[in-house]
Amino acid sequence: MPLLEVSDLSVRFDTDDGPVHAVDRMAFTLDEGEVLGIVGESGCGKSVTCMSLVRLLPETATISGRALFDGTDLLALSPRRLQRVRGREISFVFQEPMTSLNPVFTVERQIGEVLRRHLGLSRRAARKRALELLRLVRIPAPERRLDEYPHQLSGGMRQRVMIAMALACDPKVLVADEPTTALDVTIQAGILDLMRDVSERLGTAVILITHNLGVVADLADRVVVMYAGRKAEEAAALELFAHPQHPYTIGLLGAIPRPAAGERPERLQEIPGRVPSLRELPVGCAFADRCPRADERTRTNVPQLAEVRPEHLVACFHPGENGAG
Amino acid sequence: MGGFLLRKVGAALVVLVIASMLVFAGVRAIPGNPAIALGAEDRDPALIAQIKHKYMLDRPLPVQYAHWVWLALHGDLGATQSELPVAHTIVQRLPISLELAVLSLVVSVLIGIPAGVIAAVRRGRPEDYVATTGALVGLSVPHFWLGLLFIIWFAVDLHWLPAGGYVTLHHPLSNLEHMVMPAIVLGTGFAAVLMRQMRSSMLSTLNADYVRTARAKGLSERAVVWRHAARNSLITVTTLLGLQLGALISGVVVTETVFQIAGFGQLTILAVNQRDYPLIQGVVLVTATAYVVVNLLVDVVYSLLNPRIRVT
Amino acid sequence: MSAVDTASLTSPRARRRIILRKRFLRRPMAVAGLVVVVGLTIVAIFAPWIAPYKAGATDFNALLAHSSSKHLLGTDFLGRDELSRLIWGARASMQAGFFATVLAMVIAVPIGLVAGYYRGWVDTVIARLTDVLLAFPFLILAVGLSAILGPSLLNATLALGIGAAPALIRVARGETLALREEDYVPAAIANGASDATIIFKHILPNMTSTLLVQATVTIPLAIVGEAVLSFLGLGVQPPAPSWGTMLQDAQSYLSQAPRLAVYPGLAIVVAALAFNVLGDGLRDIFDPRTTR
Repeated sequence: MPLLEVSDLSVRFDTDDGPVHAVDRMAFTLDEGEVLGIVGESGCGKSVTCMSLVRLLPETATISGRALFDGTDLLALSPRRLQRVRGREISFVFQEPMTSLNPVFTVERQIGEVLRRHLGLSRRAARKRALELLRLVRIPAPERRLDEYPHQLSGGMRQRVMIAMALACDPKVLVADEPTTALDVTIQAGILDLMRDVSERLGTAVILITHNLGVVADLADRVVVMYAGRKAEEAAALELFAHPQHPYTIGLLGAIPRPAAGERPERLQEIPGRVPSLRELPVGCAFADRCPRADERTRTNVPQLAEVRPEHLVACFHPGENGAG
Repeated sequence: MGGFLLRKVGAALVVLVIASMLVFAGVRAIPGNPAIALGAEDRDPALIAQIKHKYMLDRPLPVQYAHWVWLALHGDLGATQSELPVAHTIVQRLPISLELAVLSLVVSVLIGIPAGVIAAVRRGRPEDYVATTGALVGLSVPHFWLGLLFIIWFAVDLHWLPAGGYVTLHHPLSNLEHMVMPAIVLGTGFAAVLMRQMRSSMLSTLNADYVRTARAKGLSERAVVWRHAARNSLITVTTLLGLQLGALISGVVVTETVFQIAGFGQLTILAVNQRDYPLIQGVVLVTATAYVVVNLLVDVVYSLLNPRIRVT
Repeated sequence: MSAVDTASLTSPRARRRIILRKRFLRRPMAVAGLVVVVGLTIVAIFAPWIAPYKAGATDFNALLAHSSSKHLLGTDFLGRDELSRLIWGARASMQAGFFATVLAMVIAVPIGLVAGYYRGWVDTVIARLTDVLLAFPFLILAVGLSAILGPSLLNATLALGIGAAPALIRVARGETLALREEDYVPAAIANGASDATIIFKHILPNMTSTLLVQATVTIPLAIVGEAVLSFLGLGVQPPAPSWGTMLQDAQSYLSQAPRLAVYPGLAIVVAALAFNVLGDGLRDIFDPRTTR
């Protein structure tokens, strides 16, 4: 049985200018110890999807659907019980380590907070465990770091602290929302390595949210591609990169700069057009306006997910690697 | 942190010097013979000569100033119209005003900070409207008028509390009786300002990423609001607190006048109304010093609270 | 949607004014504030024609009288009509509020502009000084001034204006610092515009909304300040009417005629509240983040 089973998840924000449909009938599963990558461009709803699982969204959000975690529907939990899931069973690592850590508390205090809240550890035990965690995330001179404040640490170290904090209670799921986007390129690889390492060692399932396909290729077992709040494609990572079916995925892959030795550099393929406004649910396929394969059918009907290749789902009327459908 | 404080101390000293110069110049600017202003209203020639000699009035101004500062640093601020030493009179009355100021601050913090936090957390709901409107009214009501009203209600009509005056701390209950109304009157005005600042700060703190992290960690909403958000907002508000201290000093002066409390504030008004220049000089100088010193203290407190400055 | 229709007919500036006016009208509190402010201004200007009695007119047959048809709000300890004195007092308060604020602006805006525009050591000195003076108790300033110059409404206004200046300098400086980073500034320089032109044609006009909001919240502070000073004997001198001196008189008659303390205070509260509410509303509609 999968660890996490999300079905029919929809999130709607009620703003002053009307509703925004950020996520539309999203569904995915996560197995124990698996690394699932969710990719898509900014605003496609990948962060909102995951944050809605533990209701980390503002009050203007209306969430509907089901999210079965270990048999319990997260979306039906009371706030009190939800607090016991957050940080303990499902943890988050966010994009901006500088602003995501409280500037007035030491590292020890911030990690210790989770330990004392969920595991009831004493001050001394919490400090010991925090030290272990800092070693786990490979921070040099961890004893010193415990008493330091976030502004005294570098970006990469802060992110490691965030990861340590997230793993403190040995959660079943770690959601990493763009964990390396705000970091220097040279640091990014280290963080990704760390995440892979830790996930393997501890058996933690990871949901990796990113717009960067390179990151996904590195870490993920399976990949979900989202577009405009809907799932466009889903497959094992290797399968997806080798045989992309959805024109959006193909476009994303084509947009990756690939310097090939000896050959003339090709022009980067852009995907023309822009993401549709989410104020109204698009009538047909959300990608229709930008799709080279669009026709009457795609503009009036919403494509459903279908298994086009073994264990490879696509929501498209004209799936296929070469534009043929 | 050392550098930060050093700069603040330096600035404080500069202000003090400028203030003393202004006070010095102010008295000398009064039309007429300064000797008369400084204590010889009866124009007794012997007295005039004495004062002239004491303050070196026939020497050039810079020398006068230096000498005056020298005297002041030794505790000699001259004598009042009634021949009492200025310094002594001031020192006698300062603790009274200090007590009023501290009590008012306590009242304002106890009301203003929680009100601001709650208003921000329950933004747009009834609690917010009540608190915000209350603060607006509190800002617009002149607290000396509020003092008069309190006297009418609680002293004249209900006879619950004394109408004014002051009793020393040797009689703590009676002292409190006399201090309750003035402290509440002054405190509520200040509370209104604090509440608005706290609310404003909390509104932005509650949107911060680290608050989202705190929630994601599974902390109780109470811990998120008070331990994480409010703590940060409080630090911001501390700097603004320094700005309000001047208003507090003014408030003490007025409140003492309304409630007939024989403190430093009332002394100030007496001095001006009686044109007692040595006293005015002393009072203004002491006030400027107090203002500078307290601001410095606020800076120190802030640097202690804010890790970014305390530890670099 | 009518804003879209008129877009083709009106200039951007006029369109903005329409939007601002619409936003303002959607805020009943601010509108109420404006109405009261205008009312007070009219009362202050036309006091001689509105007040039933002259300010000093005494009636020794009706000392501390309750309200009657002859004296709508009663009389004070000298038999003077309370309502009339309130009206005349409005004049003193509005005068003090208005002129003190004008004075503060006249001092603060040029200094703030120069500091923010030219930066350098001039700016550093001004900024430091302002920071320290920002909260200097204006009361002590007023005390000092009246000690030297003698107490009067004029000197009180002077003290209030000077006391309010540092805060306004800070605002003006802040605005200037921000505005001079706007793109049209280097464009203007490239076109050969002089410093003066940039300051007066580009920076100053864009500060007006902020300055207007600041003025609207400074006035009530000055009004209350004048009342405080007059109450303490440092401003308007009795027998001239001011809400502050009326409260000072009332202090001696708290047990006999408490209502004498209520009326002037209420007047101050109404005036201050009106300006504050108006100021809050203006600040809200000028805020670029406001959507309605």
